[in-house]
Amino acid sequence: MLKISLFSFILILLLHTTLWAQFQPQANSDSLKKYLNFLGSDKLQGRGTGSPGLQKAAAFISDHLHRWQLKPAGDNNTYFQHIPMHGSLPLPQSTLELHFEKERIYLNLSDDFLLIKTGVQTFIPKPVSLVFAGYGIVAPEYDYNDYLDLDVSNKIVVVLDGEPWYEDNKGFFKGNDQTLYALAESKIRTAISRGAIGTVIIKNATEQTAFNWQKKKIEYSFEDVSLPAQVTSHLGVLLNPDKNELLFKNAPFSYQQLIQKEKEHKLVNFDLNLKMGFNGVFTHRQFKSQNVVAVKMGMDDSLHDSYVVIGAHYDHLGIGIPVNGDSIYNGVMDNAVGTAVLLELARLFSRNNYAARRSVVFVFFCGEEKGLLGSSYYTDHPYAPLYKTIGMVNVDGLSAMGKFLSIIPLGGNYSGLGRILEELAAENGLKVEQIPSNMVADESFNRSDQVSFAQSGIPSILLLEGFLYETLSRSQALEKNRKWFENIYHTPFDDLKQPLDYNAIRRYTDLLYAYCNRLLNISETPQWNENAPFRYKFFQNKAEKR
Amino acid sequence: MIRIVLFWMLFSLTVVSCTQHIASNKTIIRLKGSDTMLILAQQLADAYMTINPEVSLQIEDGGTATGFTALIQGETDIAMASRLINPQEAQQMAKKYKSIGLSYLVAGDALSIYLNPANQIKTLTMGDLDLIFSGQIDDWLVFTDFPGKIVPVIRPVTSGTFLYFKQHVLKGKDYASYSREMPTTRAVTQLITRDKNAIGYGGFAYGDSVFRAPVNGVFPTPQNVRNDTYPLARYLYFYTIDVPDQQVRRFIDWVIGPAGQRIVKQVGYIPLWD
Repeated sequence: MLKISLFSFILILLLHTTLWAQFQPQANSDSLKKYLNFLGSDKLQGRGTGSPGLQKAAAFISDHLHRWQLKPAGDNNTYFQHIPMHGSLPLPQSTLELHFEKERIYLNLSDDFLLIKTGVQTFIPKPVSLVFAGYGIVAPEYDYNDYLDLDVSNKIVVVLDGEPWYEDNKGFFKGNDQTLYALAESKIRTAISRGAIGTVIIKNATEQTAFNWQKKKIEYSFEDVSLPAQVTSHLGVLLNPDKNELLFKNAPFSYQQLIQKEKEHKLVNFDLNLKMGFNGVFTHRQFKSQNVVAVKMGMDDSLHDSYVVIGAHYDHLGIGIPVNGDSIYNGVMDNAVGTAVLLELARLFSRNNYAARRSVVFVFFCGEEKGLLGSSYYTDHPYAPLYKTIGMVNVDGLSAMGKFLSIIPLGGNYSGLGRILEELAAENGLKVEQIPSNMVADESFNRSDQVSFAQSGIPSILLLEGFLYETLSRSQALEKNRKWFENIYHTPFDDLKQPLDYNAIRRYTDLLYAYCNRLLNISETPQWNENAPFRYKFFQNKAEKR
Repeated sequence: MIRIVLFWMLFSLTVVSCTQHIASNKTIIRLKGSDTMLILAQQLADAYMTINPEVSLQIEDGGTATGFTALIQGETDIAMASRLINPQEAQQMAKKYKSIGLSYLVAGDALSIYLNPANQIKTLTMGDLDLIFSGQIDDWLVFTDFPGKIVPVIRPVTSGTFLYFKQHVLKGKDYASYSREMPTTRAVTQLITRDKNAIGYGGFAYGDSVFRAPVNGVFPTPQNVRNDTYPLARYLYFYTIDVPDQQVRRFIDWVIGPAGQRIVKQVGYIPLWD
């Protein structure tokens, strides 16, 4: 017993020593705090893309990169990659008109409906017919087609939010996990491909959590920003559930009957005997926003022309609808903290006495909250050719709840980046966790800048703290995380007033430093796993030397 | 983190590579469509070919609809458009390519109302334009002291400007049956310079020989487009089927970039990113 205890003690001591041997306290908590206190402050007005606040943040970042003598890797030998963007915002006088046979009803923006995409593409001067088209999904792999024998040319389709779900058939679509087919943009694109002129999405009553109108109002109140290149779109409307019955007033079924049919999996298509017009009034503007990019060249003759990108988005939502009198959406955890971590990594890698074999590119992305615009632009206009970029490590959102004992590698299952991280974790006594069921692998991976790189063929990963903590039980950690997403995420409360454990942020930075350091110095090039959906693009890059 | 992301490639199984290579290894990039964009495209092409002699740009007008048809038929790499793709065109594209098209903002335009300089009208409202072009008012006497049968000059149905004007000014109504249809914007301005009772519309860059009337009291100027006060402000677009190949992308990037936008300004349109 004593022997075992002594052995355990020595093992713990060894593990602990190993941990701190690898995680040498490289990062500096005070520096991290300094960066975060500036980036998350009200002075930057929430760092909205295209706002003066974001420019201040860009200047702050570039000043530091310059101070650390990192090589500029933006346009014309500067740190800035100037990205042309287009912004559009619907004004309250925009109205949606419902034309019944003897009556016309006007719906108001924000209270009654929201626009999924704003701008000239939504213009419908003459009212057109509405037709109900189930979930608005065509999914050949599930032998599912809501448009079978349905002509929607020049009509507006009304579709249910979400996707088909069967209690006893979880293999149909993805059961409790949603597929891309459930996304509003996916429904809109399907409708366009069938010749529809607009799409109205209504709440599916079986999905209680999907529509919180107040939250939706806030979510859609910000300026719609896009790159000059855009996929074709059309009028996309989210309807306040309070107005659902109205749409079905002249239809063969009431809304309640429709929902009953949905529960019984007996949805049918039908004409709503109603027309809809839309008179949109928008403000438009063109502006340039900046990715901030720097590089430190590697020193190895054979590897210095291969690159690892470490990225973090530094934008957030900006100024929005006030909540409890606060209209500044500071985005401290999303993602001032990731920006601070990346700055600290840049400082560490820029030290004069540090030399890696490969080159490292630091990219601070703008426009992430507007649809991964900065990272999409970077992968279209990379500093180093894509085929020479061996991997991308993204930093987006920390929990900073305390000393974490496990990690979650998002995207680790797709490529060798995952295995390398697992090796590092094992050496340091960290457990690698599976992605919890509420963080569906595909969906979470698709939600931040790492996916732009994956789509461009570059293995990428987002490293998150896991749910095992020294001072919290797993259930407590999960509950804290759930509450944060429910109450703080994308609200003005994601600010510097929330509790932050700077030691946890430093520890995360040290782990990331160790990981990136390894990627920069190993001879092995991480490869896509055979099942990875992005693999073909990697080969295309190589073949075309993109 | 953002709420949703859907990728360009969702409805695209293949990257469409359209550009051609001729025997001399020159890359040919074909542009077809909007007559409004003809002068602009020609000048962009001249400048681009000067600095990229390995590329040959072929420009053809015929109207926005013609450009979309050519794009869907695989007869052009870029469709030039003064309006957005319509649902039927997007549907045809989806059927053939499993892609619904990519649009690129190229320039801003103050869609201008052209009058003969001798016409006494000094300003028109959006409502006046609706009444004139839909044929509800057919004599200048309603607006001036001088009678004269109004001659609305319009573009053919293949023109993006025809459709834009019909939707935004006539709110979908038909044009007056006695409207004169001219094949190009240049022909529109030529007719108006000859006939003092004529009134037409077209891109800002084409209006040097005529009087560009204020609408709702606001002159069509770049500044008034930028500050959202001119009511007939619009965008001009390039369209591709999907993410284009490198040569086409490089050209479009250049058009959107500072050098291309300088030419946009020189031609008389509104640069979007100075």
